[in-house]
Amino acid sequence: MVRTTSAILTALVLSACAANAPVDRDTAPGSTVQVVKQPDGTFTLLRNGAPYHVKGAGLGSGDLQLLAASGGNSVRTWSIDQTERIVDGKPLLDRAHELGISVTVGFWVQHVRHGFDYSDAASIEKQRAKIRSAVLKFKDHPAVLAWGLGNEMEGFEPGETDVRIWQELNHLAGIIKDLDRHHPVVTVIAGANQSKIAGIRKYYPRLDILGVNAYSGAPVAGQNLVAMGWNGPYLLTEFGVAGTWEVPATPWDAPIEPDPSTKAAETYTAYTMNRDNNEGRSLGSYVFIWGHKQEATATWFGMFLPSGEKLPRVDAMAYAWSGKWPDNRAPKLRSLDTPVAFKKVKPGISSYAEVDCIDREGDELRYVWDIRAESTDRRIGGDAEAAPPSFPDAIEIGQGTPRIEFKAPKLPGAYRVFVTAYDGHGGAVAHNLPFYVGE
Amino acid sequence: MKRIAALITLFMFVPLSLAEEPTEDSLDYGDYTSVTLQVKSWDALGEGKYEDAVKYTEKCTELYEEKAREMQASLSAKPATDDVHDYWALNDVGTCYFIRGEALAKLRRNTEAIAAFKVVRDELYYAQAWDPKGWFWAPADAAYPRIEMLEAKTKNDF
Repeated sequence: MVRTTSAILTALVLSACAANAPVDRDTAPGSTVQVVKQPDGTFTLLRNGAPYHVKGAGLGSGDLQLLAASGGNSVRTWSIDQTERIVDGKPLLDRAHELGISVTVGFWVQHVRHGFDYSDAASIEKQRAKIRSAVLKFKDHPAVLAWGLGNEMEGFEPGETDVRIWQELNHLAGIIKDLDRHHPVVTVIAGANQSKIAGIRKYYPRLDILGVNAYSGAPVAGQNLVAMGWNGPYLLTEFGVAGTWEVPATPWDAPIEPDPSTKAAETYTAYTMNRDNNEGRSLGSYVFIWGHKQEATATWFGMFLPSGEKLPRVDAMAYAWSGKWPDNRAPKLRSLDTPVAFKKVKPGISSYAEVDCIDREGDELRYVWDIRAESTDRRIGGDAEAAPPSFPDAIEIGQGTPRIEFKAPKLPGAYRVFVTAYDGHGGAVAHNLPFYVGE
Repeated sequence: MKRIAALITLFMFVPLSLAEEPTEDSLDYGDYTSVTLQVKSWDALGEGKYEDAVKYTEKCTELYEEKAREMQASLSAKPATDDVHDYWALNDVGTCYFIRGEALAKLRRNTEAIAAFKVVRDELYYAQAWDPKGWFWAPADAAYPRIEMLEAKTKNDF
């Protein structure tokens, strides 16, 4: 009751968005979330009547308890299947609620590039039915923060988007709002441009919050959105390190992965710049990704190793969210060198690689080296990629230590030398350097 | 024995795997046009030849910065897409300062990298660079978060 009264008082003070509905949680369980437009034109998210700034992460395989302990307060999912996942032995929503974490529940809205036909009435109805069913299933769970209606379904190039996609999203948002008036609808686009913003404003008036995935552009996403004509609230729904498509590449087109400290600093800066410089429109952000992901390399975007150890970007987000470094930091990589880095070498050539790592708590580090082919299963839009093959026999001396001697594979092609240092207490650091076998 | 064989092999291929750092005289500046120097500096960045990338950008700024500043001073807004190429020196020099910042950051010369990024952010801010994917981007916009990131890196132990 106190929560409800507080919400009503706040709503009286603040002018609500057109999409906001009266709060009537007296008779229903679950949470109430609203976007309010304040008199000065800025936006605030209210969760159960209290201002709520999203300090979130895209949900992967990473430890949820660690997210809460790091100062994070929310996760986003991409699909119903993911929302139904069992985490720590419990349904995700239950476990998140236990930890004080809210969830932006994602609904996968099909992509044309995956073959979906927005003129096929039967397919459209099937998609609508699935979303309708999921809203009914989840809407009264107290962990629900918002509905994540679609992710990057509009395509990537200016002018590429079929207006029927915006129109269908508007229809789907209407279905959601008919079933649940207590949670806003967020739709996530793959970076903003004027054409997308114009399409959304024209064909998708039911949208409550625009979600934007941005990497190099994340720190200035808010200013860019305003410049492109967006006048509503937004969430930065994916951010982190510069994307594989945004960095210099070798002559054989292997993107050069930034070193772990730079990645941590980039992630921290993207978060703080978006938080502090967003024209009053940002409701928060979700860092990408609280887990492991193979995309170009095994370590580019993931904040954890597949075996669960956190990487330095987790600590950077803990510092960004809470203002404090965790007691046990992931190790720090000061340098990684090999004479073959960025070069074309002959098949079977012998070489070496060495790494300089420190552990701030003095933990003894264990090193694992890996010579791995360059990924050839490169996709767009974050679609799942297969990990390239490893060549463990290439390492001749020094596995487990900071220096190895190795032989370049005999098969011509692109490769990388990877190293991972483990502190034995749940922290690790990983990096790689590319090289090429052949002329 | 295996180790000896490895060392022998390494010795045989030292010129391939341990290329010497080129001196300035050994660098090929091509036709010395601003666009050539800009492209060569990008290429050097992608080849991990960060010292070379810095040198190419220095040659570009040595030859064309005065013209670039004239062009910047003549503008009161970012040129429209149809007019971008009229400001060739501004575009190439501004982009070279951005590349220099990137290369210096890779060399962990963060103070110098910040200074390079600040030139394009604060002084050559109407420069535009062509992305082969099909659009122009503004090095000044890209430099802004790089400065913030490097300053954060200087203040905090990442």
